[in-house]
This record gives sequence, C-alpha cells and structure tokens, in this order.
Amino acid sequence: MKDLEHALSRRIEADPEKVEQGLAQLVLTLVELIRQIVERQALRRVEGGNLTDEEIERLGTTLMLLDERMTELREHFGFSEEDLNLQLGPLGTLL
Amino acid sequence: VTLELLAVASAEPEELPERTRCVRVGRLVAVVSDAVWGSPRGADDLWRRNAVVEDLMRSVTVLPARLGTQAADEEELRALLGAREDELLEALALVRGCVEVAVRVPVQPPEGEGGRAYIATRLVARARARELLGELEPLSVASQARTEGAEVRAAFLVSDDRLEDFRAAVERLGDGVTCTGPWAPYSFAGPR
Repeated sequence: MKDLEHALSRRIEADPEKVEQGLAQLVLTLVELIRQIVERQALRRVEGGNLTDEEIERLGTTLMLLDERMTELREHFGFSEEDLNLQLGPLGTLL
Repeated sequence: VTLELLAVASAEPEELPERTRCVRVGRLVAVVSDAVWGSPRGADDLWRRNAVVEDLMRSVTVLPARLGTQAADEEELRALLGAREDELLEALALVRGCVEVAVRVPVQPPEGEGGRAYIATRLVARARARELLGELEPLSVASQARTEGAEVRAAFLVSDDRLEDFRAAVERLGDGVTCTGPWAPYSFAGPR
C-alpha cells in the first residue's frame, strides 16, 4: 500500500494550474489499471478453453471497444501510455 | 523559483553538467536545475536531459528523475526525497553497475477482424512477451515487459559485464527484434 501511495502521489502536481491535469491523469491511470486487469482475466478465460466461439467474439469486441475508448480519452488529455503506467515497486510494472 | 529534479545520485559526481547543482538529502545526492528545462517540452529537451544523465553516469550511479519532477524550493525537495530515502537507496543499489537495454518485438496479428482477432492478437503478444522474457531474463538483473498494440516492449537492466552476451542473445532471437541502448536505468528508477 505504501508503494501504491507513492506511485499515485508523484502524479499530483503542487502547482494549482496543473491540478486538473494531475487529477485527470490519476483517474485515467486507475481506469486503465482496471481495464488491464479485466482484459487479463478475460484472456485467461479464453486460454482456459471453456468459451464458445460466440462468447469469445462478444468478449473480444467488448475488450476492443474498451481499448479504443481508453486510447481516445488518453489522447484527449494528451497523455502517453507511459503516463498512465502504474509503478508498483517490487511488483513491477503492472500494465 | 522552481527546482527541477534531473536525477538522484549515489554520490556527488566528479564533474557537474552545465546549469545543474547538487543538493544533499541524507545519503542521497539530488542533481537539480534551477530553471525549468524548456517549455513546452519537446524531443530536444529529452535529449538534453538524457545527455546530463549520461554525463553523471560516468562517475556515479544515477536514477533519472521522472520528467517534470519539480519542487518549489530545497526544503520541498528534501521532504520529497527524504521520505523515500530508503527505497531510493535500494533502487540505486539495484542499478549499480548496470545499464538499461530496450527490446522491441513486433507481433504479427492473426488474420481477420472483430472480437476474435482482437483476442487472438493479444494472446500472440502475450506469448511473445513470455518467450522474450524466458530468453533474456536469465541474462539480466531485472526486467519488465508489456504489450502495446502489435508490439512487445521490454526493458532489461543488464550488468555492464554481461552486455555483450545480452546483445548476442537478442540477435539470436531473429528478425524484427530491435534492441536499443545502453540507456540510463529509466525503467528501473521507481517506484518514482
């Protein structure tokens, strides 16, 4: 938890003009983290081999749309993929 | 006046790059600039910072600071770094005598489109990333890999004396695999 706190706190700028940008980055970082976890779980299920073709197609389409939306948002706020990458110390880069 | 943190070093460097100075914070040495470096930030700024970091690397172990790490004054800088002294010392110990090497592997997306193809591409990328780590991890001190679109991007922390072996191993991986570096340990300076 200490690492998470550090990973997050470095993203918030003290300069009031940059607070909004910092907040957007924080929120998008968390959304991206969740998106990645969801995707990873979904891929594991596919690899598990218990899904029908139709289920895989539906799951894939959902993941693809999520990915596209996330890219749009990220570009809208002018962040790189690296900017939304959460460093968790000993756990390594999660994304 | 705003201070910009350029790097955290293990000791004072023999020679300080132009327009920088050192601030001691416990057992750490912060290398700072009194002026914010260039705004808006462009590729030139990045290369200039990289040159400073590489200058420092000649005489001391460094952790490059994340771009735009600023403090209002020395007091704030001390608070910022002081609170994380132990973990920064650990990171310095990790990267001592090492450089970063970046490796990129293209992923051939499978035929087709839509949801199945998206999943298939992701699975291929994951498999490639695992394969890459399997080959190169034994030759490195630390590593991280992620997939970005149709490409696996990995960073390895490699000890100076294993750099040649590492490069040879990358070459054995075959066509399309690109390798850049040695770089300062940008990917291993965290948690930043």
